[in-house]
Amino acid sequence: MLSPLRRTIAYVFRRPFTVMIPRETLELPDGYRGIHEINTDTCIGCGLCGKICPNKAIDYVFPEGKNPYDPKNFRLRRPAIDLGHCMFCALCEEVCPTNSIKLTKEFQLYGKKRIDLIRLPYELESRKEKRKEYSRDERAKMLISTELISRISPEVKQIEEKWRKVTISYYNGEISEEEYKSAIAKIESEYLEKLREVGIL
Amino acid sequence: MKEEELLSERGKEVKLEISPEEIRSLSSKLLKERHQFLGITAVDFPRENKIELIYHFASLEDSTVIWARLELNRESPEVPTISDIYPGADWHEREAYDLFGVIFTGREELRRILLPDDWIGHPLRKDYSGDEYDWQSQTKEFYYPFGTVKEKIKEEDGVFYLHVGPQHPVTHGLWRLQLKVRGDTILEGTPDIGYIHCGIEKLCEGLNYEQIVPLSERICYGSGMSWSMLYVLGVESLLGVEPPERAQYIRTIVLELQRITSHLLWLGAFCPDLGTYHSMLLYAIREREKFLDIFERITGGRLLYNYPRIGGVSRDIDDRTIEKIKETLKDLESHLEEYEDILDKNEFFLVRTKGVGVLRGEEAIRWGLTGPCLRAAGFKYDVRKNSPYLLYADLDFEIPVYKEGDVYSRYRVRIEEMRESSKIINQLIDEIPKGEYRKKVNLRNVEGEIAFRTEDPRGESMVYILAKGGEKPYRVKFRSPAYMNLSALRRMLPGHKVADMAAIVGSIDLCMGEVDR
Amino acid sequence: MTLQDLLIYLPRFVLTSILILLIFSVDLIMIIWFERKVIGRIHHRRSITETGPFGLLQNIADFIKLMIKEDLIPKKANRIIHDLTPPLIAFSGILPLALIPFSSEIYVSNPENSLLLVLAICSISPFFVLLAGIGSGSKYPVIGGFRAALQMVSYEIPLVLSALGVVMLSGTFNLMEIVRSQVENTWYLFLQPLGFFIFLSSSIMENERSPFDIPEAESELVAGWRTEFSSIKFGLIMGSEYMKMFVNSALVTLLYLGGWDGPLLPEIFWFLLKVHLIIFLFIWIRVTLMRLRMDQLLKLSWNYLIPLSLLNLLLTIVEKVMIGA
Repeated sequence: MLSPLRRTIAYVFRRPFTVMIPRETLELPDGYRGIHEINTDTCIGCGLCGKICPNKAIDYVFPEGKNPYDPKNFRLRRPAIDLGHCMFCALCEEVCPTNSIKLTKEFQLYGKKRIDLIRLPYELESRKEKRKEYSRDERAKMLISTELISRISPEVKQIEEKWRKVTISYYNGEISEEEYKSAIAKIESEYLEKLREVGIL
Repeated sequence: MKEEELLSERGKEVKLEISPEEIRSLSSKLLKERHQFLGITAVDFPRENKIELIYHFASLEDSTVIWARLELNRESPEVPTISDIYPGADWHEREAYDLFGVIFTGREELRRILLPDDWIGHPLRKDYSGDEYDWQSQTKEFYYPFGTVKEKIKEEDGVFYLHVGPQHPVTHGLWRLQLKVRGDTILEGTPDIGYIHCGIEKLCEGLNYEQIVPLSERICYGSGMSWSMLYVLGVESLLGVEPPERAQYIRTIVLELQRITSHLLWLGAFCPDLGTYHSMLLYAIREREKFLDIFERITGGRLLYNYPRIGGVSRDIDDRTIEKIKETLKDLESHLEEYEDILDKNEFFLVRTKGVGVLRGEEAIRWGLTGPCLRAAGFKYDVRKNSPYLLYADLDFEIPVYKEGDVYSRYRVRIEEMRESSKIINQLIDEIPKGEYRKKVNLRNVEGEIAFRTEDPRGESMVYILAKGGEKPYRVKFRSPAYMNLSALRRMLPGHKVADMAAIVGSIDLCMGEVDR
Repeated sequence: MTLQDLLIYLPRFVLTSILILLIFSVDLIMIIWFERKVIGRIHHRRSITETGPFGLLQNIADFIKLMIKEDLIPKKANRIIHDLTPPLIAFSGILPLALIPFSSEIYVSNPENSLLLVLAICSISPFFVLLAGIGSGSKYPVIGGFRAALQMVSYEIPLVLSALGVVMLSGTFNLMEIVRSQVENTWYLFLQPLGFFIFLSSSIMENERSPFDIPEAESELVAGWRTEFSSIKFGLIMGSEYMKMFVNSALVTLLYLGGWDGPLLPEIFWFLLKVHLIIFLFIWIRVTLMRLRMDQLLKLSWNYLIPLSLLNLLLTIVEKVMIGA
């Protein structure tokens, strides 16, 4: 009966094992799987990272002024990642043929709205001087043609159908530029209103 | 009855095809010849209008696995039960009814186990749509303790029902235990599971073979590496692929480290149940932190790793990590002596754990215990020795066996297993050969059927994969050891006091993720 | 008594009561802080560090938090019993302070048989615990309340029997006289080691602390008889546990460790030092040993402690004869 008492009291005289985190820090090893970084120059838009992701957290956005629904533009698409669905398994890093997508040691994920967790490739750019910042509304507008938002709320799908019809008809040459811009502005304001109502924005 | 025998380096496999009426005589014959019952797997073939049931039995003496295949009509599948010969098959039959609609005749009432009692439809059938059940409604009828939904309980003299409910400090995980108590003695106890069922087996049918690896390690979050390793070994055995030597060494080392980590977590969760005011919890968790740091260096994550790949491992090991492993194992030795001093020389601990929760002898085989619980019951059986995989055939280690079958012997078996794992790692750590660690495997068109068994820290786990061409499997089934160990609680509890319930439940080593899947 | 006696007696009475209450209140907060820090160090970690320097203000923060919580009462509970029992439990914990002398000059009152009175007051509280358990309206508190009442059966007799050994050696039931006879001869710890051990174990049982905290068994019945109390009622119950611990350690010090006996420093200082040493012993035993089952506890008490305490009485008689001769 005495030896348990002897063993526990011996711990009082040793230095505690605790690390007081805001004042002292722990070092993360290399190879830690945190938030992604994408090099948009070397990325070739092959689409393998989106196919291999088990949770389907990666979908593609196109630069401004290009038709998202034209198969000839597929090499211009870049991955946008939904960090809320991502499980940080690093299968996308393994499968990328040009080593453009990598997982870094950054792990702080915070934001006030749901849209803060969906990151565009230009925000995750690995060359820090080329990194761009977007406001919430701009980010939502760029993501309208992807699956990442319509998966959260299916009512957005009807708005996306309208957007798709207008865009395809503009790029086919059926409507003029002013008509296109006014129709797009109307659809986008309805889309942002819907997102605010659902709670994403 | 057709019979087919296959011989491989891992042992003999006997595949039988029988009709549904012969299953009872086959089970009694196999019980007499000391075989244990592993599980029932059901596969749905809508085009041929049949449901196929496969019963797996494993021998305790040599390394034979016996398959018994039955074919049932899809409109009205009926099979006689074997739950009076093997009481451990009770929950497997209920699961087959719940997910496939197979009806077992001649037993007590068949109730759903993983889904709520008023669910409509059978999810794992291929034509299930999920539209019939109203998702937004609450369960309208509850299952009263020890009675059916329709009749109410009759309160007898001095008997009352105690619910150790889903929110309780002692149940590790989310499940419910219904106790029938008279005074301070337990008369009956029934567990009730299914609170965190996620349908992992159905999800696997929609993913590639590579994408299933991170999903399979989330089956049990306490020891994820052993489940993804089990799946990867199963697929490699199906394809006939042999990974390089360096990968085999690294895999064995990492698997044994995971075994030590899982047993430390069990030790930390078991002692507060008896009342030590959490001092053993903190010592065990502090010990485990050092092992999690090693895992972070190797794989990049602390709890969920995504490390094994079909054809090898995903990252390499460097020299600094090897030194850290050696240092940590030396620390573990000295600390294990301290923990034994605190617990073994403590008379209160001995008084509370000796002679409590006894299940041994033939009863242990009939109720389907595996793993440390079976070794504490007197059987010298370990899958690593009986049908070896990875590098275990060439290694020198022992299997601790105790005869009493109570809570104290299960505790002793796990402490000694930690020492044996440390011995295995020390044999391998300096001999890792140089070379490549991953081989490319073609997964475009996979065909075949395999059942692979390994030794999980909790018992014997098995994966069954059926592949009919293409990139995605047709059926994947995981057999978890904690599922059958938990159902044996119905045999271990009656006759004890309410205070012993905490010790018995803690000694089984539960991880609810693998019970519910 | 005449008016003159009253004028002399009253100020002294008021001053010493205030002094004792002050020492006790500060000490209560310090005991809780001390326990949490010591438990943290035994667990090889750092305990409370953020509120105030070294976490000294943590208990005040806890007290404020408990005051502003909502008071939940179950539907089937008896309202009167639920409201009245926590203050009664705290009351029975703090009342013996009026009878315990802190030094040869600081005491509130000194009746003839103060030891008997203290032991009698300490044994009321299991009845209130049983009442609290039954009046709470759900199954777990009822089981906890009955277990507490059953536990009382096992500690009462060894407690009184081992204290009887001290009474035989000193010849009186008065606490001041017991300490005076220890100051003249030696500490009774050396004359009665067996009695000290039995009295200590019974005190731990009376306090419902580990290894004998069966009524509050956290892993089986969520919190035993304390489950349904929230906000300030829970604060009173928690406080009463530490009050009883202080009173019991003070009793152990007075009976066995010589009270305020010590070389140079003032007497009150030695008294408080010894009380805190015994409290440290309580905390150490709590962290290390496991909880016993109810029938094992009864077996321990009736098969081992009671015969040992009777043996202790026999040995005391032999000692007294030898000293007398």
